Order: sequence, then C-alpha cells, then structure tokens
Amino acid sequence: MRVQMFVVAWSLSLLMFFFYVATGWLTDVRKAIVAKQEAKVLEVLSVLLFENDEEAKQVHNKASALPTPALLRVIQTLAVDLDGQARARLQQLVRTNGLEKSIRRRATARRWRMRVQAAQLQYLVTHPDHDRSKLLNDKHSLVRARAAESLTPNQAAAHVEELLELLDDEAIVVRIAAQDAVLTAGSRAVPALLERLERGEANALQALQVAANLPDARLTSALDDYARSDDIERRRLSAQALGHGGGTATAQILERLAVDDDAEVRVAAIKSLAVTRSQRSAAVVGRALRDRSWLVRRAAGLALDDLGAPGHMLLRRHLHDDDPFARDMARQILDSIAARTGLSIVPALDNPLDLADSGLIEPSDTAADPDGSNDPADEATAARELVANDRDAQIALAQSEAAAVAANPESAVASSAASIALTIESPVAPDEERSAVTIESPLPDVDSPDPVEVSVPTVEQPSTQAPRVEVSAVPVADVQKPLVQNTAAGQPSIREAQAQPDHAQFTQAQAPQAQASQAQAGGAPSASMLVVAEREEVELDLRLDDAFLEALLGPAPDEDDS
Amino acid sequence: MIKWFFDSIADIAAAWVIGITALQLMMVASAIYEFRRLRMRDRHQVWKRMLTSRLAPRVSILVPAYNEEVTVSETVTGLLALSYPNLEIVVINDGSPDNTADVLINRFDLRPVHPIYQERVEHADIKSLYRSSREPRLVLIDKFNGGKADSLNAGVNVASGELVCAIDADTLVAPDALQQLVAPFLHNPDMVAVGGTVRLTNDSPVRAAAIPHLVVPKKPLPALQAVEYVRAFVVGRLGWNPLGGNLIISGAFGVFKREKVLAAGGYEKSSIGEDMELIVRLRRVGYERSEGARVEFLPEPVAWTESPESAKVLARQRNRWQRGLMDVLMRHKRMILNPRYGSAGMISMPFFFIVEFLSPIVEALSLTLLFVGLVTGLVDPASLWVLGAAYGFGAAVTILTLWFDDMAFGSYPKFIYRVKLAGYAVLEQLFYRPLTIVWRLWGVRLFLMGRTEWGQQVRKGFTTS
Repeated sequence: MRVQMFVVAWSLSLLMFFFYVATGWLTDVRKAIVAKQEAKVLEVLSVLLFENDEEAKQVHNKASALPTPALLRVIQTLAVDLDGQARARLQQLVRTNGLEKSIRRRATARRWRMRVQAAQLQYLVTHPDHDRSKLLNDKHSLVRARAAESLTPNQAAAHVEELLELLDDEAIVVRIAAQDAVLTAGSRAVPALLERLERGEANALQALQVAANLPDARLTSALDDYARSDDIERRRLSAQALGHGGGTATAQILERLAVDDDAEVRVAAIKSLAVTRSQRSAAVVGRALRDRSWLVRRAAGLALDDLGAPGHMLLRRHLHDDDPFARDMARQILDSIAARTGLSIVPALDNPLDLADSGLIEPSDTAADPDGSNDPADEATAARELVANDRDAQIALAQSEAAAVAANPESAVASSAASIALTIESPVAPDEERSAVTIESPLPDVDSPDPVEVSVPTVEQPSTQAPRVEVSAVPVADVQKPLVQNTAAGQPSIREAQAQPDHAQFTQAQAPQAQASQAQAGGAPSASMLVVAEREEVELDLRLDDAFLEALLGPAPDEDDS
Repeated sequence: MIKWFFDSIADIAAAWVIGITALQLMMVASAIYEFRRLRMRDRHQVWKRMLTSRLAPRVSILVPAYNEEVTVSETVTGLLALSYPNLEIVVINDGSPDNTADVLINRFDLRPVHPIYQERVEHADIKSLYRSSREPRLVLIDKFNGGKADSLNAGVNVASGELVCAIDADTLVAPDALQQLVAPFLHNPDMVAVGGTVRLTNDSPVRAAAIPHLVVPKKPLPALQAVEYVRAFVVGRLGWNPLGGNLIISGAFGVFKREKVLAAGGYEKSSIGEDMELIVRLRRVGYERSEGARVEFLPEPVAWTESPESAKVLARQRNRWQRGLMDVLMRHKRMILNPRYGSAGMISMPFFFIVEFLSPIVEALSLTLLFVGLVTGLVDPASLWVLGAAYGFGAAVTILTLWFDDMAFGSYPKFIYRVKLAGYAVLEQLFYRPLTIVWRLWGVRLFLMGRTEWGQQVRKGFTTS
C-alpha cells in the first residue's frame, strides 16, 4: 500500500511534468505563428502609412491579402492620433479593404468582445451611416469606456453631450474615460459643461472635476453656487476650478474659500489664488501662513513662492511674524528658494524698522550729524525714528524693494542681494542744511556685475515740515542693461515715467521705442531686452495695492495718531 | 508504546506534508478562481488608458536604500522610465556608509533643498534633502541610520502622493506595473494596500532598466528560489484574495494609501517584519474603526529582484523572515480566532500560525524522530515510502503552479526553461525544503533569544546588456 502510494504520487508528478512542458510548447508554437502574422502586417503597414505614395500604392494590394483578425489586432495597437497623412491612408485602407464593414459589423455583434474591438477602431470609420453614439451608450461598460477613449478631439467635441452623460456612469472606468475625452475636446466642451454645471444636478461632482482640470475662464461663472455648497468636495473642486478664472468676482469667491472651515478647501483656494498672481491675492495668501492647519500653511508658503515678487516680499516680512508657525513656514520656503537659486537671504532688509538696527548703516556723504559726532548709532536712531513714524517712508522702502524685485527676473531673494540705498532727508527748510542718512544692504555672496541704477520716485510730501524720503534701488541683474540704454537713448527713466499719469500706458508705449532706440544705436534688440520690455508692463508698475501694503507693512496708523 | 510512537512518526510526518500540500492545492484552486475574476475585471487592460489620464492619483515611490551603491542607480533609472503620469520618486539613504548617496547625486545631478514636510510619524533626523535639476520627479532623503522601517516612515512623511509605493532599492519595476497597482484603488475606495508579484532576476538580462524576458538562474540555489517565488506569489498570495485577504504585501513592491499609513502610525520600527506588520495593523485598525481596509494582491504587475546566491545569505534572509512572522503573530495574537477581526482573524491569521509558524517545527521534529527511529531500529524503513509519496504529491502541486503561471503569464517562455523549472520543482522537495526548515528553525531560536537585527545583504548588481 505504502509503495503504491509512492508510485502514484511520483507518477502524478511525472505526468504533471510532461503536461506542463507539452502545453507550454504548444503555446509557444501558437504565439510564434501569431507573432509572425503580426510582424508581416506591421511590415506592410509601416510602408503603407509612412513611405512615399509610390511605395504605399505598391503594398496596398498586399494589405488586402493579409488575414483580417491579425490586421485588426495590429491596427488596434496604433495610436489614435496618427498624423494627417498616415491617418488618411489608414482610413483609406480600412475603407477599401473591407475592414470598415468588418468594424461596423462588430459594432453590432452580440459578443461584447467584438463590440469592444469595434469601439476601439471606430475612430477610423468615416461611413456617414455609422453611429458612434450607439457604442457610447452600449450596455457593456467596457464598450462604453473604449468608445469614449478612442474618440479623437474633434469626435469628442461632436459627442460632448453624450460624454457628459457618461460622467454619471456606474462604472468608474467609463467615468474616467469620459472625463478624459471631454478634456481632450478642450474649450469646445465648455458651453455644454457650463450648461450642465448651471443645471446644478445632484450628481455634478464628475463635471466639477472636469471643470477643475479644464483651464477656461467661462466656467467660473457657474462655480459660485458650488463654492457655497455644503459638500466639502464640491467646494474644493470649485476652488480648484476657479483658479482658471480671473477678475475681482473670482478673487472674492476664492478669498472666501481661503477661510473655509475645511482645510482641503482652503488649500485648493490658496493654490488657485496663487495662479492669479496679483498683489491682492498675495495679501490673502500671506494671511494663510498663520492658518491652524499645517497643510494650509505649507500651501500658502508654496503659493507665495509661486506668486513671485510680491509673494517673496511677503514671505520675508513673515520672518518677523508674531506667529511662530508662520515664521517657521516662511523660513522653510525662503530657505528652499535660496537653495534653488543659490542665493542667500538677507532678512535684515525685510523690515524697515529692523533695517535701522541692522548695523548696515554707512555714513552718507551728505549726512549731517545733529551733534557733529558722526556717530553711526545716532544715524541709525534717526533713521529708525523717521521710518517708524512715517508711513510714506515705509511705503517708499517697500516700493524700493518692489523696484529691485521687478528689475530682477529671478526672485526677491535675488533682489535682496541688490544694493538698496535709502536716503532720508530731514524736514527741509529753504535755508537749512539738509541732513540725510544712507543705508545700504550688504552684497554678501553675489558678484556685482555692473550695477545699474533703477530709481523710484521721491515720495512727495504735502507739507514742507514732513521728512522727505528718496529711495533708490540698485539691482545687479544683467537683464537690466537694456534699461540703461533705454534711458541713455533719451527715453524717460522709470522714475520720470512714474510721475506720468498712467504708468501702465507708458510702459506699453515705451517697450517698442526701447527696441527701436537700441536698433538705432546699431544693435539688434536682444532677447533679454524683449523680456524686459514684456516685463515692464506688469513688473515695473510700482504702485502697490493697499491690501498688499497692509499685509506687507501692517495696518496703517490712524490719521490722528500720526 | 515507544514502538507504536515511532511507527507512527513517519505517518504523522507524511500526514503533515500531505495536509500542507492539500492546502496548497486549495490555494491553487483559489488562485485560478481569483485569476479569472481579475482577468474579467481588468480585461483589455483598460487601466492602461485610464491611468495615463490627467486625473490619475499622485504616487510617491519610496526606495529605502542602505549600502545599495551597486544597484540603486539602475533601480532609479528604471523607476524614472515608468509610464505612470503623476509620479514622484523618493529615495531614502538610510545613513549608508558606502557611496549610495554620492552615486545618485552624481548620476542625477542632485542639489540640496530645504526639506518642507510635516513629521506625522517619527523617524531619525534627516541630514539633507536633494532634488534633481534634470529629473524634477526625483527626491533624495539623506538621513541618519534608523533601519528600513524608519526610512520608510521618513519617506511617507516627505512624500507628496496620495498613494505611496514601497519598493526595495534592488528592485526593478515593470514599466506599466504601477498603473496596474493603482487601478484597484479607483475600483474600490476601501482599498488600503495592493501588492504585486516579485520575480527573481538572477542571470536575466536588463535592458532599459527592465527585464525583457526571464531566464532560469544558472545556479541551483537561485533557481530553486525562482520556483519557490512562483508558488509563493502567483499561487500563495493570489489565492488569498478570495479567502479573506492577504496579510503580506511584499516590502519589495506594494502600494499603500498614504493617509491610512500615517493614521495607523506608519511602519513599526521595532518590528523585523515591518511590511507584514503594517498590513496586519492596517487591517486591524480597519476592523476596529469599522472602516474598510481591503488588501489585494495582483499577479500581473511585476517587479524583479535579485535573490541571494549563497546559502549563508539565504539562510540569514529566511531566518529573518521567520522572526518577522513570529513577531507579527505575537504582536497581533489577539486577532487570532477573534470574530471581531473578520476573515483576517478567523482565516488568515490561524492559517499563518499553523502553516507558516508551526510547520517548520512540526516537520523538523517529525523528521528528527524518524531519523532517530531508523538509526535505532524503532521505525520500519518501509515507512519512508509514505514520506516519499507525500513529497511526490508536493512536487506535483508545485509543477501545477508552474503550469498555471505559464498559461496565465508566460513568465519563462522557453521549452528548456520549463524542463529546468519542473526538474527543480522535484529537487526542491528533496533538498531545498529540508534546508529551509533548518533555516526557519534557526529563526525561531533567534526570535526566542530576542535577536531582531537584519543581517547583511550582499548585492551583485543587475546584468545590464
């Protein structure tokens, strides 16, 4: 009995051994035959689709002799977005080779596997009677998904209504395929999507998700209601979608969402605010650095980085924030910027009050010491008092920083390495000697190639008794060179331009003139100059938004106090 | 009485082996059933399109590396070649004394950046964080040594993906593997972890950081392990899906929901089987909080890794696995046969206790007594036929798993490979199986002595062609 058991067991093993090897070998043989067929099809198709007309015509007849299943299998693997000529030839092959008929027959087959194949290939069918909608509404989820996936952008735009219906499909694969197809249709899908969002259907999450990924400002009008929804996910997606919009109304909705009860909504709103790249948004995002949620604080920090110059200025202000969490996040983000740009940060420049205490004061040539001791400490105290008590001085300092930032294409971190000179003149009386203090930032680790002066206007004081403040920023960026040429060629300086009523108008008008003046001087407009010319319109507008200034400098003192 | 006892020893040993073989047969049946179900769900590989979508969830691949200077560069190159659309690769250098970090810094032009992350689970301090100017998806965490679990915790903290994929630094991942592993998370919101198959690369060529076709390793020890891996992954883990869910997702290749991992406290640093421990804890927490905590294994997404080629290293690995298993079973012993923990408590945990924990002890004890009985004449030599028959059945079931693997996935698609693998399936029963019992017993002993260190791994590097 025991021996018999042994024999049975090992016989079974031996049998399995042969079965395994034999079935494996048969599979190999079948695969080799299929691979050979497909290789032949590929060879013919590669000539047919991509070679010149002569060669393509020669192999066209060969293609007719190829086995249809192998041909369909290979065509299935080809990209939907073949370029024009290859695609036209493929469509011609499908038409003339009877494949179109085969595909259309499969589209109505009882077996769903056949319909899946038809769904995948129907983008090639040009027959006027072919109804794509049928496969999009097939009873089998995979057929619907394949039909949605295989639509070309034009076809997706034509079937956008049906695709939007599929967003509510019970199968996730269909929903995602439909979402992608709608996104492929791009802006052509917006009217239908907008209508769907405006209908406010209960199950609008999928549509919102599409809207959140479709950059089109037209959608924002429908999103306000969703932004007020009780559902967190709807508010979050609305916030995400609103980032593609613009204008005050959108900004206001986003500002409201930036203080939502849910942290994820706040994060989405802050990220969207960063997209607007406005000073007003920077102020809102800056406040979020004090949020109770770490996720929101991080999003705010990263958003301030994304906001560029105004964001960087705010980040540096928050290094002195009362809130330790805001300070910490600002420090982390600035460190990451510093590591990215290879420049160090000079936080002493950030706060006008700290500036006076920073020990960076250099006696000015024109400075007149009240007691004649020429003591830097006295000058520091004088500067501190002047800046601390004078909102205009603070604003001027902020403007100087903005000027340096605007002049530098990289970041405020880079601008902190610029030399910012601040001259504060004491109350000027016609007969009195002027006193002034000049404060300069250090240039710790940046080579200074040909510093170029960019001036910002003197802050006009209504009274002769008020201190007069003059600020000049000296950035070091190379791209500023065209600006010098601009000035040298007789164009108004930025400072002069600021005095003009409409600065934006000036910058738009002057950009081509700057190029022209350089061309007259014998040089072709350089790339950097064009960059600067483009930047002037936005970046060199040094009028700082009130909300931004408040975020930057704190609330303005009351009139009575001053 | 003694005579009767010794006469029964061979029968007991044979009954045990046949019992284990019967369970394996049951797993094969379960695996075939599950394979058909998954094929029906993922037929026509719709996930391929679905996850090239812009809506694909972000996945952070965590690669803990300790003394991996030989393989880490190839591994990262392979990961960067993955076709997943929303990807981040986080390599964690766990204070390696070799040049692991330098190899990466030089190869990918990495620069230090300031780390901005929230430390939600504890880990050893991070020395520096690097990003690549050429590959913005790549992040290197250079930290003080704290072990694999500690490294993974650092990675989970720093990662920005909704999903995290833990792989070993000596693992290559198939280009579309990640898409397949992510798909179940979209199908089922209760999914917390999904694992894929790990196959052995020894002697297989590497092209473009992937394995174009597997080769049966030339040396017997890796070849025997190749057979073992087919049985363990393709049948063992796949079979568990319908039988109450897996308790193991290989540390070499698995995807987790990051938020769930953080909520469960991350990887347990004091556990030597941190991958299994995390899965058991995720499931336990899921049951205790009445949240869904499904764990699934997928047979088709494949990762490739190198198996130990020397008996010494393999012995260390196996005894570590045994200690890890015992550690997890001890930590979560209250789950065993506890209806509160559903199928995990009533099926999976008892199975692991009996088959994985008790098996080497019972089998070793039986074989030792049999040997003593034969030497002393207390056991009839004819009893060996029964034991031989049991091993024969074991070989038949192993070849059945090889056949299933071949039909389903065509992993070793050459006549000669099949002959070799079937031959090794027979040899496995006769030589390799007793060896693994000895190594696992060694693990039991070390566990009882409280030894929890990892031991050293020797890497050969991939055969690039």
